[in-house]
Amino acid sequence: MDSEDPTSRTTDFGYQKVPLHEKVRRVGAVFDSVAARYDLMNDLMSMGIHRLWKRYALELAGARRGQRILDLAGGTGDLAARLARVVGRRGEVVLGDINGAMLERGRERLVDQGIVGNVEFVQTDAEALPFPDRSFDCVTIAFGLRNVTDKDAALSSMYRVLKPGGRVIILEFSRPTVPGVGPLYDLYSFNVLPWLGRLVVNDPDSYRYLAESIRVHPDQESLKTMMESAGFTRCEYFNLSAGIVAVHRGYRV
Amino acid sequence: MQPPATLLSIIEAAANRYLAMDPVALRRMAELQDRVLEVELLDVDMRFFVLTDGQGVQILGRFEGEPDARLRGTPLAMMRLGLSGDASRQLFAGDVEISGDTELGQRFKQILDEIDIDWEEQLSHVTGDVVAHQAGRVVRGLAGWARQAAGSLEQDTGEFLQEEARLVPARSEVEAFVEQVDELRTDVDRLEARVRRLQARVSDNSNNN
Repeated sequence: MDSEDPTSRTTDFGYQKVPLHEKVRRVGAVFDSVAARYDLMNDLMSMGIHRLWKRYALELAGARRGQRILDLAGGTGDLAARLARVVGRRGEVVLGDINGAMLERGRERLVDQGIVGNVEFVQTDAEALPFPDRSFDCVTIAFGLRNVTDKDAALSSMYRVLKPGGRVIILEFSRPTVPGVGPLYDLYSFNVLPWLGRLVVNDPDSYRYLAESIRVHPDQESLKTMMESAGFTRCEYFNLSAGIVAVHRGYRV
Repeated sequence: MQPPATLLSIIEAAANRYLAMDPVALRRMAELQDRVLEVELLDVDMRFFVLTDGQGVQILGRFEGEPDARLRGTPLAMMRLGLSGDASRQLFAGDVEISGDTELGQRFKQILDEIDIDWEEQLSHVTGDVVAHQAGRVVRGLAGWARQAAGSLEQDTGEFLQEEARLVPARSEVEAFVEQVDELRTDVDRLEARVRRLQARVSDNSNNN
């Protein structure tokens, strides 16, 4: 959970404490650095399983033809691509990301796949979305919430832009639920990942940050509570891969 | 029950790779224009959804909203549907139920049937044109011989079984029989319709009296 020290206004950046405004800049730097090899690193880190996690999120999103869907922290666009294919010509997907480099990569990838015409690219901060109230059937955020400084603000913003009856889908790393997985996972995150980071993109620090940010992200129940505070109802979560990852879903009535 | 995500993911990847090898098939799939086909496999109690679009197909275990068409059958019947040249016989015989937009189901099947992959072209990506062409010639030659050999073997065996041992009805006998069954079925349908018309007329008369 992000903790703010009222006296010196710091927040968590992984395990480090940094001034509030610094976090956004630092996270930006991380993603500028990894943008080019993001998919490759995801594949290596999760051994390709991240695609299956995203597939699960896609199914839970319940996307249909003609819908309007906002995909936040959409980065390189793999979830947005699939959503765009489901909503079809009459639908629309808005791919939002705070990081320009990632957004550019996303645009390139989608164009390469021939998915044009129903996708819009918007550089935006999840904490303060620039869209009108009640304008989306669904908001998705895959592996992005842990990087948001003020998660409550982001959740409220997402609630605001959802149509009544619409839903939010949050796919994110969470707390492993199977005993014994924890230590192995720790070993993997804190030793293997930075090593891979150095090997593949020559940037172990960025991957150390990513591993640490996972640890300080709220657990399954905490996130559910935060969603309810933001106004979402019928909130539930689904554990994937023994809780290493979870999909949270909530509705706006 | 939805099949495991890994399985669907693999099938989807394979299906798209297959489609991608024949550009015409890909285009025809795109022409189906964002449709959803639900496939329900009886006996194994599995269901999945095939979504068509300009990039190929997506195969999902879950879909909300109404599919455009539904195929329902045992896995075996589905496979026979895939293999046979004439889908209508399978569908008419009730092995595979199709509901909703039946034309969609037919077109879908047709696309799969008519996929024509230029294997030589595919191979050339890996080996280069000359080797691929040589390989192609060899394979075609072999295929020709194999077809001939199989044909004559089939013919020999078939003839033996039909004429000598009278164990298996001749193809023409089977076809004649099936035709008669079809005719009978149509007659029954017509009769049923007629009976219903008469019944309606009778109840009309009794209402007016």
